[in-house]
Amino acid sequence: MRIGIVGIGFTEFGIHKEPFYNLAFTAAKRALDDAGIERREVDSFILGGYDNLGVGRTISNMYTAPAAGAYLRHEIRVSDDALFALPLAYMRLRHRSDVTMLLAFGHSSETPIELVELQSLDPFFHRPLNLTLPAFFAMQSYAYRSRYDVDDEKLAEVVVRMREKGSKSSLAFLRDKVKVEDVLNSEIVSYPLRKLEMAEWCDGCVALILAEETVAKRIADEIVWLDGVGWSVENYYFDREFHRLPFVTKSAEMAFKMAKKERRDVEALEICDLTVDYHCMILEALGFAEEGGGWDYNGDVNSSGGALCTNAYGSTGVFLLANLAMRIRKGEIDCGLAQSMSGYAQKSCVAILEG
Amino acid sequence: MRVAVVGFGQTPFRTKRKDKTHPELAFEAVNAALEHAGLELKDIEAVAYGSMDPFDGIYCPERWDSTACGLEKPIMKISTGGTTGMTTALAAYEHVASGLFDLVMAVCVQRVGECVDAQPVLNTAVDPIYERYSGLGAIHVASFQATAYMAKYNATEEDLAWVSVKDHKNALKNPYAHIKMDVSVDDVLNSRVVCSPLKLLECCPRSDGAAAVIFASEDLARKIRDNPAWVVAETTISDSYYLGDRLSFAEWDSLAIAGRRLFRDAGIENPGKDIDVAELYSPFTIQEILELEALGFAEKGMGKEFAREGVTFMDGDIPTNPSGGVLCTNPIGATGLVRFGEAALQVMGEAENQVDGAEVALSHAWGGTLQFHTLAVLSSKKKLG
Repeated sequence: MRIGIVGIGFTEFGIHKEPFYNLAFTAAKRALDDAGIERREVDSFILGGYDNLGVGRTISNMYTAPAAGAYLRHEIRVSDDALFALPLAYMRLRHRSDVTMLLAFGHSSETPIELVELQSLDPFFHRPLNLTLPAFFAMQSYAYRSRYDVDDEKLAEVVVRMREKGSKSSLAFLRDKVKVEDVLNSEIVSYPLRKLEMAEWCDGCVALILAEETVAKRIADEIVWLDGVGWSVENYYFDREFHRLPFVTKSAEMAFKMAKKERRDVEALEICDLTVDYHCMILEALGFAEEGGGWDYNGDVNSSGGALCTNAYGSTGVFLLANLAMRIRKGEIDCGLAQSMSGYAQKSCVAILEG
Repeated sequence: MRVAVVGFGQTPFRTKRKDKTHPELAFEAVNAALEHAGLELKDIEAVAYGSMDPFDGIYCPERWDSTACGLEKPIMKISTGGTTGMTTALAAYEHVASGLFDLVMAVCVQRVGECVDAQPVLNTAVDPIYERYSGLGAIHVASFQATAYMAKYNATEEDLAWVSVKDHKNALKNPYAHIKMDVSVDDVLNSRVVCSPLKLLECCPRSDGAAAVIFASEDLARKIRDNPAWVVAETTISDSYYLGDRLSFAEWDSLAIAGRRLFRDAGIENPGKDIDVAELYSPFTIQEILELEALGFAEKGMGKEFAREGVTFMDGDIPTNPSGGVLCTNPIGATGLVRFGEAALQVMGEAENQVDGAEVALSHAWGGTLQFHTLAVLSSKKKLG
């Protein structure tokens, strides 16, 4: 049994003043329109997005479930980056659903995310350190750059390339091109990370309509198949090797095994590069670049501009996946891989798509 | 793919579990479930984790608690309000039912004792412009239900009090229950009014604790234990957001719709006859009455008679909440999983307060502002009918 994507709906990504459930409705409606089906034809709704501190409301699916159209339907929310909801949608479809909507929502402008993420640290050992997310990201950047002696200019070139791609995407949040000097001269947020080397928070929603194979073929002619999903978690405590991301490797292994694919089958990648160093480390962890050589990867990565251009806390992973799916649908590529991660670089989810 | 529960573990529930950190509480429940199933942590392939973060003073606690649930396993965080425990169970169940995994654990942890009061936290769930300033929380919507039901069906405060008497009596036999006291109808009626017409002994406590349930595929289940609890049917339902959009507070129509779907899938024609025991999510006395009616155990307006006439007591026709229910123990995000686990124990024949010969059990949770329901039928038989 195969599971396919038959409808995709995006909102604009930016800082929105209207409530997050209005955006959720827009994405859901656009996905239904794209699939050419009615709400009543969707039997299951799987939502992905954070809770109170992430979007300003406790039990956030109280708002997004009705917005998705889940009225009197089956609905469950995965409280994480929404790509982690994809495995649940996939399993639901394999088990008993014909058509499932996956709604990804993110509205980080409602809350100070760095402060929010700080509350995820245990109150005894880590929280008193005031180790904010940028500070932690910087620790990994420092470890990575030191370990492999990576030149700041080479990393800045990666940012320039990603922003160039973002400038060509009508969906991206940050669409201004930057130069190497701009990156190197941008303010240090937490040493050695500079402002332009990091993703910037924004708001936005994405909805996907997924269907079981036989149903999918009745709904759409151009189906993007979800061949494999994998997800994994890293040790919570920081006794890790900061210069690499083994949990990303593990999630990819699971997805590749399920998809029965090799890395050489994958033509394009969409990865959750919350920092330029993560861009390199993820490519390395996924097995597409040598350790320490991610900056030099010249393959097809983050055509959307990646998280460095669009990072709506909660929906980023599905934003990346949906961009990949759009390219497959247009026939630009046959097979691609999308990856996301969450927390203090602790959890990773990988999906492999095929036309 | 048929799926069965092969292990259930829970911690004792208390106002504050100061003796344990968050992951230590998870570890206690996980270990209890593993011991019950005769398994080791390395046997578990994936984890579904549930919690309602705002109560606990820690955001995304699954990150910290993953240290207790098995590092490096695929872990999925579920949060859906009061239904969290049950939806976490269903998420874990989907892992196995889909054929992707053979052995998966659902873990729920909650420390409501970390917050000053649960109701202000729940108030942050409602609309900040129209509803939040009214102070709306779970107890208020339950009082709307009680007022509407009493007015429509001439129910008395004594009718509601009997539900409390029954649940407290049951909790005395449950070593894990939070509130253990023998109460009379007079005790209930004389306890202070918390939110009219609901009185203190008609309202749940807020509890710290954790629960874990282990699901296995058909082939593995029989190898693990002789008496697995088979998941016969499950469903969830999501209603509109605004409380004012409910058709009536005197009936719970969304639960009735979900129940109808559930029983159709399970092959249950007469819930009152076909179901031996029910673990319902009734943090307030009125809700058990509404649930019994919505689920077809009682005719509309007749649920009020059930506790008073002993129907829902242990020796009645429909023993309801033999664990003592949510009225005596409410670790909010874990409560649904406790209902599910207790229902599983009943059909395994291993519950602390066992209903004799129970073969079919119903498990339920509700969440949001009367917005969500999750239901499951468990049985000692793979299939009913």
